Amino acid sequence: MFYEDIRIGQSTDLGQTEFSREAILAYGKKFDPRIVAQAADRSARLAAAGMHVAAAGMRRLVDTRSALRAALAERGESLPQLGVSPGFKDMRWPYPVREGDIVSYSVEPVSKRETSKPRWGLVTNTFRGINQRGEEVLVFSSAVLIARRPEEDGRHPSL
Amino acid sequence: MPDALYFEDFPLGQMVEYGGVDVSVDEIIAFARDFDPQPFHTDEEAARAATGGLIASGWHTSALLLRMNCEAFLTRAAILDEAGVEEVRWQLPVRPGDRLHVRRQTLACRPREGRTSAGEVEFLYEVVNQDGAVAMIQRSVLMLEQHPHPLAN
Repeated sequence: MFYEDIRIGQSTDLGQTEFSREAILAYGKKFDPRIVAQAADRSARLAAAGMHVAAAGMRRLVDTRSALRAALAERGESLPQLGVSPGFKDMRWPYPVREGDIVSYSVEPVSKRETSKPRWGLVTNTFRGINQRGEEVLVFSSAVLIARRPEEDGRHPSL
Repeated sequence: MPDALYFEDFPLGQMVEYGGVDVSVDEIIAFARDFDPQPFHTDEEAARAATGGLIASGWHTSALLLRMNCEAFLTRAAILDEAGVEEVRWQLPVRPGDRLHVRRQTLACRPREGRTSAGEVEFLYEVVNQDGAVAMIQRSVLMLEQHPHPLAN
C-alpha cells in the first residue's frame, strides 16, 4: 500500500478498546498521580488520562496495520512499516473516558500532497475516538510521510 | 489546597526547569507492548537495523512529560479545564539510558472574558535530554482559577 492508494475522506475503522478500572489505574500509577488520588474513593468512576486515551488509539492503529500486513502478505503484497511519527496537532478530549467505557477509533486521510522528496508523499490524517454513546472523546490531526509507489511496480492492491 | 497554584502563578515569559527521569530498556519495551508494539520500540535486534537501536515510543515520552508535570505542579494547580494539546513534536529519538527533564515556558496568559475568576495559560514544554538536546516539544493550554485573594492592587 503506497501514497497513491490513500483516498481522501475514506475512514478506516481501527477497532475498539475497553477502559477497565485496572487499565486506567495502571497508567495513572506510572504517569498521572491524580488518577491514583481519585482511586482512593473506591466508589469513584475513574477517568482515564487524555494521553492514555490517545496512546490506546495508537495501539489500535498498530494492530490494525499488522492484521492488514498479514492479509496482504498472503496475496504476495507488502505494507511498508510506518515511519517514526513526527508528532500531532490540535488534540482535544471533548468528553472524558471513564471506567467501563468502550472507545471506537478511526483514522481518516483529510489531505495529501507530494513532497520535494521524490520517494515520499505527505498525508494528513484526522484520528478520532468515539465512546459507546456516540460522544467524541478524542480527536487530533497528524501528518505522516508515506512511500510512493516505485515506478517499476505496476500493481494496485485493492483495499 | 493551601499551596494551590493559580492563574497568577504562571506569569508571561516565566521559564522553569524541573524533573529528571532515567529511561530504561525495560520501560521502553513494557510501554510499547501496551501501546505501540512496533519492532523499533519492542525488539532490540530489529531496532538496530531500523533506527540504530531501540527507541521509545513518542507516546511514552509524552507520558513521561505528563508525570514530570504532575510531580512539578499539575497536582497542585487549580485546574478548571485541560483544554487539549495544541502541538507535539517528537524531534529526536529517546533511547535507553537517556535522562530527561523538562523546561517549561509561559507563552501566553489570557484572563477569561466574561469570567473574572478564570484564565488560560499557554505553556511550551521542552523535554531535554542529558546532552541538552530537545527530544520533544509540547504546546498546550490550561484553564486555571484566578487567585481568590489578589495580593496586589
